[in-house]
Amino acid sequence: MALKRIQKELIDLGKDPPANCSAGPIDEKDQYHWQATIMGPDDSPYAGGVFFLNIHFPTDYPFKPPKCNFTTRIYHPNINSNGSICLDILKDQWSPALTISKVLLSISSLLTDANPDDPLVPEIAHIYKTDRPKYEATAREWTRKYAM
Amino acid sequence: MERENSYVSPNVDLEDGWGDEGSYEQSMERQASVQSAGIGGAGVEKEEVDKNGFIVQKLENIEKTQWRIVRETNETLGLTDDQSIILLRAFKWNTEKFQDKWLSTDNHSKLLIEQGLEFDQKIAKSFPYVNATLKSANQGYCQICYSQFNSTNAKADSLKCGHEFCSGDWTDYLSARVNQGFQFCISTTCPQHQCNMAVPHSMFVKYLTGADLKTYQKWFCKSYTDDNKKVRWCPFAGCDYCVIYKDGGIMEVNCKCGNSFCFKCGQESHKPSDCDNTKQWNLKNSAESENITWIMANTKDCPKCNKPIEKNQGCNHMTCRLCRHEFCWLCTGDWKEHGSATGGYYQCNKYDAAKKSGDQTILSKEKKIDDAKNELKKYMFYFERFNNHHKAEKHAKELLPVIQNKILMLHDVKNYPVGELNFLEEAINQVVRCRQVLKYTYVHGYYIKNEMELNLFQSMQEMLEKFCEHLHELIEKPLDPYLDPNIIERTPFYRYRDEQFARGR
Repeated sequence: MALKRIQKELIDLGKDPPANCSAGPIDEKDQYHWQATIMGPDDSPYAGGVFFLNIHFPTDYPFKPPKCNFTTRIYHPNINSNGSICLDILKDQWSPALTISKVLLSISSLLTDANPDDPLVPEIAHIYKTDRPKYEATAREWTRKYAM
Repeated sequence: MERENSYVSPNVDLEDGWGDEGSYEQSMERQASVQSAGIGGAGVEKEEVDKNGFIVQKLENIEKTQWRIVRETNETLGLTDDQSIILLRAFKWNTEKFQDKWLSTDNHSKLLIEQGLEFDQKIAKSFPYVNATLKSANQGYCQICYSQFNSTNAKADSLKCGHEFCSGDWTDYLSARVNQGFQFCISTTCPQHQCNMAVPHSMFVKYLTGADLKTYQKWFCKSYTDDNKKVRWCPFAGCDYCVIYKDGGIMEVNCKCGNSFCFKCGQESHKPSDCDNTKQWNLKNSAESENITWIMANTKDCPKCNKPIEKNQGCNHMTCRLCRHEFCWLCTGDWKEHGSATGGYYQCNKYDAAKKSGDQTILSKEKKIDDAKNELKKYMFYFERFNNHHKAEKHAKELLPVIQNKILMLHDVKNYPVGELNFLEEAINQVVRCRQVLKYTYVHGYYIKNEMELNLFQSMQEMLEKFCEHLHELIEKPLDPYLDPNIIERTPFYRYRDEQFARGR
């Protein structure tokens, strides 16, 4: 079941790729382990950067959410230094009707609109809320350093 | 039916237990009236009601009660099982409150939407993609497994919202939710992301089988017992009895598993101490607070780096191991200002002078340390005795099977009738009970502020302790091959004492 659905998602991604994102298995033999890329959205301080993510599908996918984390360092209130992402649809708001394509789009929009009220890194969230130009400058600097 | 009526009555205020003085006598009276009503009352089986008027039941019976309430609500308000279950859950199974709310408004759809019994059309407007799984848009295949509908193994099914998924996926989805735990199970919504429809009881029953269905039924029952203020699970490990509170009656439950606990707070039975004090005491025993008291009583902070330092030997000339700061232990001043002029290594004139002149900062510091020392001493005193009885209670409990075995042996070997040997078991049970009460007398005593009350209390405590020790000693004597006649005489007298004691608090 899980494998069939994952393969179907891969075909759909090829036919109708979401904007600024791509994804696929790293190794043909291991379909449960994917790599994805997200281009930094133009209207965000991450513009111009290419961010890599690891995706692990659980064996009971799609009834449990996929495990996604950034492998490229990124300065963001909802993403920590391990690359873990704090996003509701990857946790308790996961629904089996969601797909990797929708997940990647959600992460992409998280880059444009951070959620500082539910932060994973409180220090970054604090700066985001009190000194937006400083946050943007740091985010741009990190993007240049790690994602270009 | 009588039981159900009293059960749904909203007039009982559970907060008004025996926590405050004076209500104890009243509750004893109430207890008596409940007992007589319980025995004479129609429909109440005698063995279901414990001696304090609680109904102790197994899971299956609880579920029956739960269904009866659901059916009653259906009849009164013309709802379906699924609707009643979800709505009653939202109102914490307070039927009166729910019925009032339902009957006082004509606009039921708001309530139904809130509780996920009707699809919220606003969602479809703000998130158009939720429509993708509607029959009109899903292109004939399931959005979870991508199988074509209408084949033999992929029949489309949906809740009222119309988001279709195939039956096999419903089973897998619900199974995953159920096995993720109670909170996940009862908050299960339609698999469509953002859809507000709650998955009702009938859907779980329709698609789950075997172990999954069993787990679901456990959660279903838990959703009733956990939210209901008048129902409580026996807190002892391995016991699966459930207790229903009846109007009136005291808060102490004697569960069928042999343990007793307080219905109000769910801790083990803690007579004569009240719930708050017991909770505070338990917190005190487990928490770090006592460490802090010890640190306060036995250490001083280094005046430079503020790390606590214990002085366990030597003179007043202290050197902090961390920051190498040198200071005087007595006045905590810099050691540079000390020397033979201030009295040398074992005295400090500065400190004496400050004390004489009544320097408030030094005096208040000293007082704090003294208070902490006394407090620690007092606590140690009470805790030691509390713990002592706790251990004795454990030993007595371990003795019970030994005694039961002895009873059988005496019966077999010496042909005593079982009826004449029962007093042994009664005695050991009495010891367990008394140890438990004694244990908590130290909690109660610890928090008594009035000295008169404390003296009276202590003398009664002493008496109970004396008799308890005596009985415990007697029961621990080797029984074979004869019996100690003393025990027969002591038990009724002892129980009498116990009761006197409990009443006298």
